[in-house]
Amino acid sequence: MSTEITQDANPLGEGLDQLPPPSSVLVIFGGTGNLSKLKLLPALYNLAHDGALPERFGLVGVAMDDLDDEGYRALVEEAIREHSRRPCDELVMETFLSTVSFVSGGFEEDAAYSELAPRLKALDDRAGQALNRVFYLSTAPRFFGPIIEQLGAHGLSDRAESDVRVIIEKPFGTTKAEALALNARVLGVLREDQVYRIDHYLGKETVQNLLALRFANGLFEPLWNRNHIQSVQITAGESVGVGGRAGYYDTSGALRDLVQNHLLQLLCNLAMEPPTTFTADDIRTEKVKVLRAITPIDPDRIEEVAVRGRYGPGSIGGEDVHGYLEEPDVPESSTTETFVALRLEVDTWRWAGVPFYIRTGKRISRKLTEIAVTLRPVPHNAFDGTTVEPNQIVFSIQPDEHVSIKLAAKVPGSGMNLRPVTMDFSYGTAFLSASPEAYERLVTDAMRGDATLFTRADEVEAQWTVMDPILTAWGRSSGAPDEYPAGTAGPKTARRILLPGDRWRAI
Amino acid sequence: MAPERTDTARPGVSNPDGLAVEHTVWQQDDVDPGAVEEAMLALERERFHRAGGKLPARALNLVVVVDADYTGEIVRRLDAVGRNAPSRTVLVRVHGRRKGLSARVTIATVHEGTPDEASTELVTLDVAERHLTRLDSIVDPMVMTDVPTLLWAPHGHVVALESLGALGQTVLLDSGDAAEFTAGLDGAQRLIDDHGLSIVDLSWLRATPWRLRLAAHYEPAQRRAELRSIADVQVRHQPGSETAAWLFLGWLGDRLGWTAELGRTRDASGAEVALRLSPADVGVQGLAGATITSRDGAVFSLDRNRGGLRASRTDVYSSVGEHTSTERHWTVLGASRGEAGVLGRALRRTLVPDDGYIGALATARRLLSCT
Repeated sequence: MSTEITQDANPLGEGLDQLPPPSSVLVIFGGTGNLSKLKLLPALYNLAHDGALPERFGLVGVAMDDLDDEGYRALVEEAIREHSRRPCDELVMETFLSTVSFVSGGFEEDAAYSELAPRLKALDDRAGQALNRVFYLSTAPRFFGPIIEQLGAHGLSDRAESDVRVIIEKPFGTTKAEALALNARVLGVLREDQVYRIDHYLGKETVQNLLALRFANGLFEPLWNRNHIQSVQITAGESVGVGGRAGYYDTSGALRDLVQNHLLQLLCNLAMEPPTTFTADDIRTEKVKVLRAITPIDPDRIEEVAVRGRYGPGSIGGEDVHGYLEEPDVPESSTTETFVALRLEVDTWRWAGVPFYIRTGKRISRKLTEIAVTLRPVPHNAFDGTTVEPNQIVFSIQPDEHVSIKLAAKVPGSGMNLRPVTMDFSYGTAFLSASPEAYERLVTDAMRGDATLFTRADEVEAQWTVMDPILTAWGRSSGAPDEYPAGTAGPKTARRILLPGDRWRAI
Repeated sequence: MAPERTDTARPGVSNPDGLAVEHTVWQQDDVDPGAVEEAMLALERERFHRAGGKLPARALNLVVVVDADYTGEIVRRLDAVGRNAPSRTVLVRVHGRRKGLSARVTIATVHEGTPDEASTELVTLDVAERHLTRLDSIVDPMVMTDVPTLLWAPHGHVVALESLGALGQTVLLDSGDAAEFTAGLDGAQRLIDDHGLSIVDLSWLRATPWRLRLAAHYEPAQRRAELRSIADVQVRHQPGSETAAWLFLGWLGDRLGWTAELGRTRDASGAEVALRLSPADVGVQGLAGATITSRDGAVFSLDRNRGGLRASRTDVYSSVGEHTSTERHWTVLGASRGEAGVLGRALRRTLVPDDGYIGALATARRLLSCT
C-alpha cells in the first residue's frame, strides 16, 4: 500500500516499531554522581547496544570533578561495566565512549556554561544540524533552580532551530511552598512543555501495566467503584535500612522519599478515570483530578489517619541489625520517620467512602510493593456457620510481577466448608524479552518529547497539597515516631487508622 | 501404561543469558497424544506446587517440524534465543520410517535470582513421514489454546505446514533459504494467499535495523522531501542474501508508491528510479549496505561496521554556476544481534504483528518481475 508523502508524515516510519529519538545531545549535570553511575550511564549504554539512541548523539557530563574528556570516559566505562544489565559489547562500548565529553565546573558558576555553550555548538557543527538538547539535572535539589537560571542566562534554555528540554530529578521540593517556588523558578525560564519532572516509578513496566490491566480488561473495570470495593491498600516495604543515605534520608523521611511521589502515583493509576486518549496531557489531567479529590487532612486530627514509625534494633534474615538512631550519620535527636501509614479518601462519585491505605517502611520484614483491592463481602451468606472472606485482587509490582485473586472454594469432603484460595497469575515472565530499565524508557521519552511518564507542574503541586498538612502536624509534634523492631511489619499503632472491618495485609 | 518419569534437577546448568536452569523430564515410546497431554499436566501441577502456587503466564506456542537427522542444528538455534524462548515448543522430528510415536517432555525453569521464574516447555515428538498429513491431530493436544501458535518447518516440510495450518496462525520461514530467491518470495506469497497464514520471515527481519535507521534519517521534516526525489538505490548484500535485499527494496517501493512497468521502476511522480543490487561479503547474512541518492545530488548511505552502522551523507549546494558539497561520516550505534537475535526477534514478532511485510513482499515481487 503506498502512502502519500507529505510534510506531516514520514512514510518510512509507518508500520515500524517506534523510531529512535531525533538526533540529540544529552547533558548530565551531576554526570559523576551516584545516580549517573548506577542508572543513567548504564541505561545509555543499553540504549546504544539496542540501537535505540538517536542517529546523531552526544553525551556531555558536567560536574565539579577535576576531569578531562579522557578521565570522564574512563569513569563512564567503569560505571557501565559494573552496572549494565547486560554484558558489554566491546565494539559498541568503544563507539559509545567516543560520543562522551566532559565539562568541569560548578553548577552555579558562569564558567561551566561558558565552556558548555561552544561544546554544544561544536557538536551541532560536527553533525551538520542543530541537535536537540536535553539537560538532565541529576544533582542535589538545591542546584535545580540555579542550573536552569544559568541555562537561561547563557542562552541555552531555548532556541529556534531545535528543541531544548530539561529533565529534573526528584525530589521536587520538600514542601508545597518549596515546590511552588521551584516551579516558579523553573517556569520563569522554561515553558512547561520543556520540563520533564522525573519519577522513575512511572518508567517501570509494572506500573504502566496497571493501566493496561485496568483499561484493557473488562474483568476489572465494572467492579472498580465504591459499590464493590471495600478498601484499597498500597504497600511499599524494604528490608534494607538507610545504609549510606542517612545524610539525605534524615532530612527527607519516608513520607517525602516514597509517599509524596511513588505511592501517590500508584494511587492515581489505580483510581483515575479512563483518559480520553493515552496522550501525556489527558493522562496527567486525570491523575491531577484524583489528587485534587483527596480529602484534605486536618492536622488537628492527624492521629486518626496517619501513623509514623521508626525502626529500632531487630533482626533481618537471621542477622541482628541496628535501629535507625544507631545508623551512621543519623543525629541522636532525629525524629525522622522510617515508616508511614496513611488513610486517605478520594472524594469522587466513584470512590466516596472507600479508604485508601498507604503503608511504607524501611527495615520491615521483606521487600515488596503491591496494591491490594478488597471487595465488599457478599450481601448474603448462604453457608450457615461458615465465614466467607471477601475477595481480594492483589497487583504485585515488586519483587515479582503478578496478579493474585483470592476466592472462596469448597474444601473437598461431605460438608460445605469454605476456605480462601488464591489464583496466582505471574504475568511478568509471559513476554519474550527482558524489560528495559525505567531510566532507559524515560530518557528516550524525554528525547522524543513524550511527557506521559513525567510529572506536570500542577500534578506535583497537588501531591504536595496532600502531604503538607501531615508534615505540618508532624512538625508541630515533639514526640518521637512509634518504634518498631527491624524485621517486623511496622509499629503496632498502625492498626489505629484502620476502619472497622479492615485489617493490614500480612507482609 | 504409566508414564516413566525422570527428574533431573541441574541447578548449576546455565542458559545463554547466564541464568541457572532446572530441567524436569518425562519420556515414553509408543505413546498416544493424550498420554503426552496428561504427562504435561502432571508436570505442570508438580511445578505449581514447587513454585509456591504460582503458574507462569504463557504467551506463545512454537511448533517446529524438522528432519530427525538434522535436529541438533535447529535445537542449537532455539537454545541460543535465551530469554526470547517461546512458552512451549513442540519439536516434531520426522523419520523416514517409524512405527509409532515417541515423546519426551522437558520443562526448563529459569531462576533469575528473584521470585520470578521463567519456565519453558519442550515437547519432542518422533514421528514418521506418513504422519505428516495428519500432524494436526497429533500436535493439537500439546499446544496451549488461546495463545498464538507459530509454525516453523526449516527443512521444507510444507505438507506439515498445510496440515497444521488450522492450529497455527503464523508461519516462521526464511525466504532466503530457497534455491532461487524468486522461489522463496513466491513461496511466502503462496502461504499468505492459499492458506491465509501470517508470515514471519527471517530475511525480512535481518533488515529491521536498516529500515529503522533509514526511516529515522528521513524523519526530520526538512529531509522528507528527498523521499519524493530518489533517483538511485544501491543495496549491497551478503552473497546468497538477495532475498533480503529485494524485500528491503520492496519495502521502500511500497512505502513510497513506486510502480514497475516495462522493465523500469518509477516513483509516484513517474520519474525513473534506478535499483542496483551487488554482493559484498561481510560474513553475516542479510544486508551489507545501502545507498540512496536523490535527484538533487544528496546521498545517504549505511554500511555494516564495527559497533553499529557506518553512516555517510553528502549534501550538494548549488548557486549560480557553482556547486559545493559537504560530506559527513558517523557511526549509528547498535550491537549486531547475530542469528540468535534475529530468531528471537522473529518469535517476538508473532506477538506484535508486522504490517509492513505483506506490502513489501508484493512490491518486491513486482519489482523483480520487471527486471
